[in-house]
Amino acid sequence: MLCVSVTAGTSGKTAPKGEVENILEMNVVPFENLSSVLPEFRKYDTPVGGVIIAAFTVSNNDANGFQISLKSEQRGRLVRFVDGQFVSNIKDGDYINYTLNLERGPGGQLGGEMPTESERKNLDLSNEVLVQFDDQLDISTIEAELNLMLNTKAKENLFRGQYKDVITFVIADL
Amino acid sequence: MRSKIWIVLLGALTLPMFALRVELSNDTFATSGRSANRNLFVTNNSGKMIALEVYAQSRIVNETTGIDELDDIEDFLIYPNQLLLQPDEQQVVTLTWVGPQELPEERAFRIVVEELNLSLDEESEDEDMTVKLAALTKVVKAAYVAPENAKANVKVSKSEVATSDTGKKVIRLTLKNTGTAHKILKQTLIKLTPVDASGKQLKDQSWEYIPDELNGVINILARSQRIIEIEWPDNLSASVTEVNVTL
Repeated sequence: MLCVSVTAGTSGKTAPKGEVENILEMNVVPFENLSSVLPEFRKYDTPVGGVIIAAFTVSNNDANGFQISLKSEQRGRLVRFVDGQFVSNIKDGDYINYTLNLERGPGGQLGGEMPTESERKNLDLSNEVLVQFDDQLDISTIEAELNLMLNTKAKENLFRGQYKDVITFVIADL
Repeated sequence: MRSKIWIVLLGALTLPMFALRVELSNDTFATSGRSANRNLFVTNNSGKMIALEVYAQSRIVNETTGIDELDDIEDFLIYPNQLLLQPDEQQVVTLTWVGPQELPEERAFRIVVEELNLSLDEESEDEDMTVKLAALTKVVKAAYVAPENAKANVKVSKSEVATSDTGKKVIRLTLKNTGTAHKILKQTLIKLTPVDASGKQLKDQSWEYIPDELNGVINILARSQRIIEIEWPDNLSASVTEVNVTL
């Protein structure tokens, strides 16, 4: 049997103090090449709920939550891309409109609830859209996985070629 | 059958990852001294090199929409303001307030870390149809420059019965911050008192609750206001034409 006696020889008060830096993180995993899916885009509407085009994770340890904005360079359209640039005089056959749904993925921990469906479904990126995650947070958000789903309506009159858009994922604290 | 095709096709897609982590040592700057400097830790957690730009913008929050109105400014010295980060590399950016030394109230800013698009000049593939979606990330931090002893003071300055854009009867609140610091309101409890035709407050009919519209977070910057329309409460008579609301 081992007995250990410890005598504390300090006096006075301690005032433990620590600061936790404010972390904001976003990891985006886009499905860059949607080529094999496009023929379906021409012939059919995307399935109900859309087609997953990107998964991303967010981390935020601010008790007030965060907001995510999505901004499309081509204002919610996949536009024909020729010789390293988007076509300048866009005709009807040069683009296909899309909308996005934001869904909770399986991974990570989200500090609160997902926003209501009306705030995160059929998002029209003709203007920057903002989705707030600020309600009743109990804990930090750690690598919460979110999926971005794309919806299109069939458009058979598209020209052949490469179609492209650039989406900027913005994460901001409040 | 068609959904199976979608699943198979999606399995063939490529999965590059773009990861950006930003930590700010403290979001409030002093106008001078050591606290006029803050460090921003920027980390590239992805497997590829990324180019970034760091800049600051002044921030005003639109009083009705709540959307930031931003303008480029040069009141911060940011070094370095352009970064090229290798996978898993972290770099420290120093931000120094070089604006006015005397401020009557706190000023609000956004510190933006934005990924630069370096991939647009790719050659077009020689296929019938191809689709590419590029993703860029941008991390936006709130920052404030505050005079000493800055303090918020938020009150309901106006409450009125109004009609919303969709034609519904609502209560329109003006939340005014007359103080010198911002205030973040969260799950805000209000006390609502109906007022009768003679202007008398019916205090025996007042009650406290958190309207859905105030359940989230509202940032009211120093010496600014926000106008919030809250849904007409079920238990408030439709004949009421005036209400008094306090925090």
